[in-house]
Amino acid sequence: MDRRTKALQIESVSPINQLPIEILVKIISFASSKRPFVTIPYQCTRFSRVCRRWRLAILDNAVFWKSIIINPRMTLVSFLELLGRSKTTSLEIKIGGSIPKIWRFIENFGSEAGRVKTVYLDLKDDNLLLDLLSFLPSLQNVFCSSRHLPDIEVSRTLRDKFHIKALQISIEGIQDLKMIEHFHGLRWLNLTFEISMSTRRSLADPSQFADLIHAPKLSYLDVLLPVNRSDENLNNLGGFDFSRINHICSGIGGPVPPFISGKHEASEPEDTSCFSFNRCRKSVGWIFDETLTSYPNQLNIALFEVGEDTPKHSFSVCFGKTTNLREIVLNTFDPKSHYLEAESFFKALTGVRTVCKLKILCGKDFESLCTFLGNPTICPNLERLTYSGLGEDSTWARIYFCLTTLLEKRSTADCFKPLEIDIKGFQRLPPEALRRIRNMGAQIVWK
Amino acid sequence: MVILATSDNEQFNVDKEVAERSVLIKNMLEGENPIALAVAFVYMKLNGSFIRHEDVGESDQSIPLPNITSPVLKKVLEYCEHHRGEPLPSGDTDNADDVRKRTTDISEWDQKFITVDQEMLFEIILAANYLDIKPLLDVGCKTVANMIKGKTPEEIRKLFNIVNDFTPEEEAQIKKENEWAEDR
Repeated sequence: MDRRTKALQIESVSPINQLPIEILVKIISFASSKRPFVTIPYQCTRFSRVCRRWRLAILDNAVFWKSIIINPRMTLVSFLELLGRSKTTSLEIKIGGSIPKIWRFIENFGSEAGRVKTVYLDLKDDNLLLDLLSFLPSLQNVFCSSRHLPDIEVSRTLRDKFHIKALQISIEGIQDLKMIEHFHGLRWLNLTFEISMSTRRSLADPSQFADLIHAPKLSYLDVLLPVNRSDENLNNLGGFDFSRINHICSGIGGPVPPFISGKHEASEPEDTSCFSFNRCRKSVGWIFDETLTSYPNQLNIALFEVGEDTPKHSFSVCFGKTTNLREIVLNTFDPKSHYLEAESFFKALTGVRTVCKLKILCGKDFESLCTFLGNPTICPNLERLTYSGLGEDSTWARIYFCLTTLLEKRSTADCFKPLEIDIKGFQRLPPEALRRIRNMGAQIVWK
Repeated sequence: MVILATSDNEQFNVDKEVAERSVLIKNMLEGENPIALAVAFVYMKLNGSFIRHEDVGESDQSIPLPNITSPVLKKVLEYCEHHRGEPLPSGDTDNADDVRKRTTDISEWDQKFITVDQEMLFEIILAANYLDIKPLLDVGCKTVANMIKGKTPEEIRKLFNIVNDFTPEEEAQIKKENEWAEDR
């Protein structure tokens, strides 16, 4: 009897190991389904260390091994082992680490090189891309995270000689107009762009990137426009196919450009998962009203960077119009602040039942928050509470009391959910206090 | 109405529309699952009753579900009742790669429904698999997936009472094999 058969015959008391192997595989597949999918090998490796049954289920399934990560710790032996586990499935490779070292892995693909369809890499120069392509003849998708953009001539070669279908470039911060012109030059290649623009590096005139957002495969747009932009320029952004965007981070005030409000004839966005409302300003109501009325299901995550001119009704407008809000991030929580009324936040939050995650940065009133969340009907699906800003002067006994009261009260709910708690500085609580908090159904996340 | 009989000899009168959320029962009622019919036939013969092809699903005959207990069937029927009328998933797109592309989001009602103890959770998964109710199987599997996400092997073992059956030599070997994935 071989080792595999033996392992399969192990009598286990665990109910999960009474499930048929195909269901276990399905569970593991779901557990490793979250993007970015290049992290799947890490997750699968971890799951494969649970017990023999899990290991065999994972090892037998080539699809769990279709992503290979070549990093400085990878050995040739492990690499060939992973290659073998992937059987005949198409491969995606993530390259991290020193460039000279990766060639010995790339060369070892041998006849399997044709299976490599996707590569993730930190693009330093065009030659690397061209060299790579000469080894990997079936490469179709290249995802780069860097500040380097391929030369226009090189990009033409990629399309004509190597038949690359998608080149996704993720660049943090468009820094100058030259870069935008370059993007514009690459448009004909049908590239997929991920564009992130931060306020600190923002452009003086937003219309400069009007062309850019019409790029045919733009899938990620993070725009933090300068506050003093002109509304006229914003309107130049109209006509964008909203349905392709899967992440919008907007700090735009004033009239809502049509591509955000959805006023143009765009189809229903299918994959929009995050709207981030940073620097919510006077006209925030516009954005919420227009966008959320059009797409009430689409707002999953709301990020509030409240400022002195944030209207008090922001929360109620936002929460009142969403039907699927999962996560709220709030940059401050200070009841003494003149621009954030804890009461209005609490009141608005009362009606939102879908929220699973609440993250508060720079909080100033942990006690009020705990008292509020201690009501189990508030955010009944809350699974994670992240809080920072306890302050050095907070008494740990008081914090402990607040938290245990919160957990005690929530545990009386019919559908009590264990709460994951991630509080900065929390580890300074005495071990006995931590143990008690854990016993009350809280999982503590350590930083 | 359809009568469903559980392993602990309880009978449930169920609307045909609700019972047919189960592809297994639907096929039995339509006479398209000869194996299931044969199993039901043998089961009912053993229990002293007789089942004819045209009787399956009729009010005076019951469909035996020998793998399912009454508390579990009650939960399964609660799910089917809530989702009655919704389109049934078409095609078999359940290979690991397809599953991997799906999210683990669960609707609010389903989440509440599946907030049960571990034993019941796995019973529901097994019942959904046996009865071929794909959306319910997905809800169960996603729930377990969400429980194991981000956990270490030791935490998973503790959570599900799994015995670490690797020998120390095997563990050392696996650790060496996975050095590239350390510190994640």
